[in-house]
Amino acid sequence: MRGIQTEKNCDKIINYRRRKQIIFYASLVALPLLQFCIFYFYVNFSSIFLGFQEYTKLGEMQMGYTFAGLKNFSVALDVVFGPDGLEMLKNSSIFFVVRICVGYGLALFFSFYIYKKYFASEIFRVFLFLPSIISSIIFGFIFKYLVNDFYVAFMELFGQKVKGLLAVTASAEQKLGVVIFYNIWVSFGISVLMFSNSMGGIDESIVESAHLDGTNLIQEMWFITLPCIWGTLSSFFIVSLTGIFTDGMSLHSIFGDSAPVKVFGYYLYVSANHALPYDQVDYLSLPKISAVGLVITFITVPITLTVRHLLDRFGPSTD
Amino acid sequence: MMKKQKEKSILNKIFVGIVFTILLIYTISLFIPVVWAFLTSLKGYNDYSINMNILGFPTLDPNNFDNSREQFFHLKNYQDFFKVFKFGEGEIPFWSRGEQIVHYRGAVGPFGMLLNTLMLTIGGAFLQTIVPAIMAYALAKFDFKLNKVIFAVSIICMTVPIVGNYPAMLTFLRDSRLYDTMLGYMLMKCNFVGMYFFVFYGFFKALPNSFSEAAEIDGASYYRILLSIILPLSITTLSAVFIIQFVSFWNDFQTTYMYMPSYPTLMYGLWFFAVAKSSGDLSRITWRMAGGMTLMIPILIAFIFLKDKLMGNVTMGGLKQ
Repeated sequence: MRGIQTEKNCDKIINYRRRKQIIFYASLVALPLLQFCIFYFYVNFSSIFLGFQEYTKLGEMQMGYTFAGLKNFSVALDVVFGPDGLEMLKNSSIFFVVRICVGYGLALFFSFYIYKKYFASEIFRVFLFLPSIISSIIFGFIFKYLVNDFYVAFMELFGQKVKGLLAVTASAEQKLGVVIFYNIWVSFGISVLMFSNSMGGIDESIVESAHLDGTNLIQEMWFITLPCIWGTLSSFFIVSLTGIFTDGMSLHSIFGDSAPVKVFGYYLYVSANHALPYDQVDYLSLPKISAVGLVITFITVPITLTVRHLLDRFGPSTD
Repeated sequence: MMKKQKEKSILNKIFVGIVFTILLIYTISLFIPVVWAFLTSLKGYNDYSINMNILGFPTLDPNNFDNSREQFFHLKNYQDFFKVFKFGEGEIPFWSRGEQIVHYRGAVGPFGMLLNTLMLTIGGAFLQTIVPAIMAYALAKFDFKLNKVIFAVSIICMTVPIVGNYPAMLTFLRDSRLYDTMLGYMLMKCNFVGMYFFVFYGFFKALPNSFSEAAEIDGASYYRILLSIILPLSITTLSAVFIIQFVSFWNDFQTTYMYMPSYPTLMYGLWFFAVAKSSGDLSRITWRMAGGMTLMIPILIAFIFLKDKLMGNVTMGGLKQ
């Protein structure tokens, strides 16, 4: 009898503790969850609805909306697969290839140097990170003057009369090249930090035994370091791949709203900011831009998921 | 054997030497623009644009007021920058629920922009640190079925890229009258999804339960445990994330541009006058460089003192202690 009583008391205490836990847990997660439901779920779902809407001006200060069917998506497909869209895709794809081959390639060598703690590696680590903490606006407009005024004056020292690299008369290819150079030039901070921190986690005994087997540094980097940090590398690869459609390439920081080079990330940002619910001469309406975003999402999601799956499956093994 | 060892040593030295040279060139390439921008910020406008003194040190010309020694030592460009760096009164019209609404913005000077910057930066960085931390704590330390759902959703959100939801976000904020308001901005930043949620989750998962269990036996409530034990224990991680977020919010101008036009920040002001507007208030390159230098200095000072926290702690998998 007494045993049953004690058991009941225990249950009561457990229930009371659980109830307290539920109240506490709910008080912690409720607001962030509500925020997430509104600002993520609701906004992204309303993005779909917005793509099917069309606004008409009823007066100077009033407006109404109607169902637009697939009209906005037809415009969106023209944007994405039209000459402008293909130009943006080409620009972003070139940037993607250069970023992977040159940007991440150099970042890997730099990280390896820092990881091995060679001469002045700590100083280099600090300097590599510097562009990441200085505002892209400041670095961007200094760079713009550097490749125009500074470059022209510098070449004059050698008796060469040249035009600024971003001068109005410069070719589109040259401007794209300069913008890509800028993006690679300021990009090492985060990648080197992440790569070198990941390299720091590699088991020392593996490296030591490889050295005893006569492995040189290049072999060590290729056969030990890269497979060991494959997870980090593949994450960066996927982020860059998604960047084909989302990365604004700092164009807004350097050129404002009238960049000489266009990419999807920049186009969507600037268009959305200038757009009104109805079409204007230079900018599409908000519903049409929403439709462009949806079309791009529709292309990006399967590519990203497939690449992630392939990298996980066929990437190098740490074994 | 010895020959092979020698060959290996030479190969290693060549490899290290090449990487060192590239790193050195890269470091110098970062110095050049900053030093050049600083020197330009000290030049008289005539010195730069008429004398075409683009590469050299500032020329001090006693006959030219703009280039005089007095003006140089008074840092005239910096003074001028603060005089011209201001937004006049303006109207911000937008459509909300089918009607046109107009927000009126009063004149905002450098001090007003600094105040806006501090409010948005500190508020945003605080929320983007504390909200993921609290959410991660709840998930790491309390066993509920909802945890799995929240965790899965967080991973999906980070994996699936959703492109171009700006129009929907703008429409939602405008229709809910949260657009261009401090409340709207703060609500947007109460977001827990992102890399730091996983960083905090890893941290709290590794934190032993013994402290909180002992406090619970002593009669402390869960709120008391969170405030008096857990938060002090995680202060290193919290402060590292806060600093990273602070730098990112300080440099951000796009959120203001897109969602908060009535609250111009210093970076938005610099972008607006030095990049977006090709003529007018901040048209002189010498003023622009002075502005750039002025806004770069606080972040550089912060970086010098907090570089270990900024650079040393974050890895893709979590925070190093």
